[in-house]
Amino acid sequence: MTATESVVGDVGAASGSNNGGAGLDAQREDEESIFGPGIVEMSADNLDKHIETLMKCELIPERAVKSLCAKAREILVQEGNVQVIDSPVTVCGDIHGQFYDLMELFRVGGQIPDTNYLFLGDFVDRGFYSVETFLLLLALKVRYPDRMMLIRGNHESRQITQVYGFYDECLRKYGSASVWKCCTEVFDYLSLSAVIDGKVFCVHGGLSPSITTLDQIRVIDRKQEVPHDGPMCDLLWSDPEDGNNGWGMSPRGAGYLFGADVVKAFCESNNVDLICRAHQLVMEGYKWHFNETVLTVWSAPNYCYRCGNVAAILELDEQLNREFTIFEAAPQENRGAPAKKPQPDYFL
Amino acid sequence: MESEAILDGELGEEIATRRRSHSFSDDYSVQKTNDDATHCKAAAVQLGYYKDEFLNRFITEDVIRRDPEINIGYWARVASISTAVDRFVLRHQGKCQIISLGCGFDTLYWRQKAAGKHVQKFVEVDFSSVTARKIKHIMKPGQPNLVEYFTEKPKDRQHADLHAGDYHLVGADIRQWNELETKLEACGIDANLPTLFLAECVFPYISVDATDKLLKELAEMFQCAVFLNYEQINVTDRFGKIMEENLEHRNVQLPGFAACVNEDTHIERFVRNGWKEVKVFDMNEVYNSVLNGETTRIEKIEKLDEMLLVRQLLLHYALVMAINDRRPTASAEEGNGHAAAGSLNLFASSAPSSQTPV
Repeated sequence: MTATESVVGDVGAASGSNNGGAGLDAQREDEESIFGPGIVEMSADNLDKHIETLMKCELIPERAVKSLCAKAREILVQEGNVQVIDSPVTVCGDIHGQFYDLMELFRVGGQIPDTNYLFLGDFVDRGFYSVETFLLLLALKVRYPDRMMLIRGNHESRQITQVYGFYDECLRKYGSASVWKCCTEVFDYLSLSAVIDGKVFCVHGGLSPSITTLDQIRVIDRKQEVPHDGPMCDLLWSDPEDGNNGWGMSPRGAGYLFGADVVKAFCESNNVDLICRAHQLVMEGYKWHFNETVLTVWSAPNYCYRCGNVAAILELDEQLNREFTIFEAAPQENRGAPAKKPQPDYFL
Repeated sequence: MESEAILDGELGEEIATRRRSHSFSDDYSVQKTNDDATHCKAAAVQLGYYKDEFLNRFITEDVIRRDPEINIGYWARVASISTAVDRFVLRHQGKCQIISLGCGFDTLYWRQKAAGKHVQKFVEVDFSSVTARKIKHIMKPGQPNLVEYFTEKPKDRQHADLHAGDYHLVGADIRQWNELETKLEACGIDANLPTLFLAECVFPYISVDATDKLLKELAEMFQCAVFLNYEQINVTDRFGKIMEENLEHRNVQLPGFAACVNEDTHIERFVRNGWKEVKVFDMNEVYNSVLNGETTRIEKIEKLDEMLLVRQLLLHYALVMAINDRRPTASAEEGNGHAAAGSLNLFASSAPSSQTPV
């Protein structure tokens, strides 16, 4: 993107609603667009400013969120359900709104655009900075669309975010649900999976009994809320079940448990060597399944500020050589004001 | 607090440091843990994890959402303690007492009464600042009417004690035995009546010595007692250490954690203070046994996304049951509504409540 390019977004019915978040609109966006009232433009300069703000874990104005989301949708709509990615790339698992730990991830994994990233979804919920985390990742996606890949996790859903915190957080931080609504519309545009150099299949959850070939994923109409069942749901919800074959009922109430034979057949049919997924907390940051044909990567250290786990990212070089980097939660001194220390719940 | 503000910097700082030192838990922060627990319970009740029509009488602020594993954990705590209390009351056919230490805004008394389960005396004890607030909530007009459940018109003493026939709420520092003993006497406690003690997340906040003293005095005083203690366990692993750090950040010190290392430290504490039989059930065990009839419903309420989070939390809490029965004819009186020490075990699978001897 060049500096002269401008980002045009349709803010639609929500246009002109500047009432959310006290003082957030103090810094005005660009002048009114030539496309008419209510259409907000965002220049590359402005985008960089917003990235700078978000990098400090500060909020951007609501109208900036709207134009950012609009531009993100324009980019995401062009991506396939199986997004094709070239190595080298660093693959990251769940982040869950742990903003300062995401900063730690960038510190150990390299800054964008020096490092190409693929995030496997679950950017929001549970952590205390889902808004800042998702908007930053989205802003980086808009700024560096070919270096930053985001695919959808089961938490990128209207229903789940109302249970696990993102909805409440948007309400608390912006004073209305309009930012949440805007973000959930972006969720519907996120790709469902990726394949790196044709060899590494990446998805948030896992496999589906309705899917044997990548082409079957390609034909899914993904622009919708995550359904309660069916192939799209399974890709985002399923888990591998070590030591088993075939399909099993998932204790999560959505998706399936899949076994070694299912993985073997899928890899052979699609000529892939590895299925890389996230979705499950792994205390050691990553975990191999089924003789190193399935890998779980988990990138939220000390999950929920309580679990005591380490996190990992997978770095794949041009030859798809694998290197794991393990990292811990960001130290307190890197978390801004002490008042910002999250207070997780216990039974008291 | 006001006098502290005008102290010169050095002395003020020293006092502040002392307040936050490991040996001295900040009482105010400990009392705040009651508010937190009350709100968490209200969040779980609102979502239908369990029923408590009385809890909202003690809530003045908006109830905010908690994560599903926290809702599930509070349900597990309330449901398992209710189960144990029911069995105790049934076994003694109401000819017994319940004494709840560090009761906070617990509603057990009303839930029991509403279910037609009466005991001769139900005594609740907490810091007088907590009991004063609880009394205010009890006495204020509203529905359901809490006062209606008492067998006598409530008499308020010093705004921190309430005596109302079968219900007593007294303000006392449980670290001060003389004070507690006097208050229990004022409630007309009968040391010869089978008595169930309850403590939920109380002892971690006070020193091991203070708890030792309390448990010893209770063991000596009461002829037939069961102590049901819900609190942390396995606290020396990484999860436990992080819990300690996180709670310290809220100024909640945990000088009692020394007794929460494992099953042995929990058992040893009761045994060295004169309790005869002690059993420890970690909350995972309780979840999978005592509560297993309801867990399917519970896990569906909010589409739990990660069972590991529940298991990890439950693994760090336990129900400790200590029994002391010195009645000479304990086993012979089974048919009279009394029970032998062995059958006092409220979670014993061999003696479910439905098979209570008649």
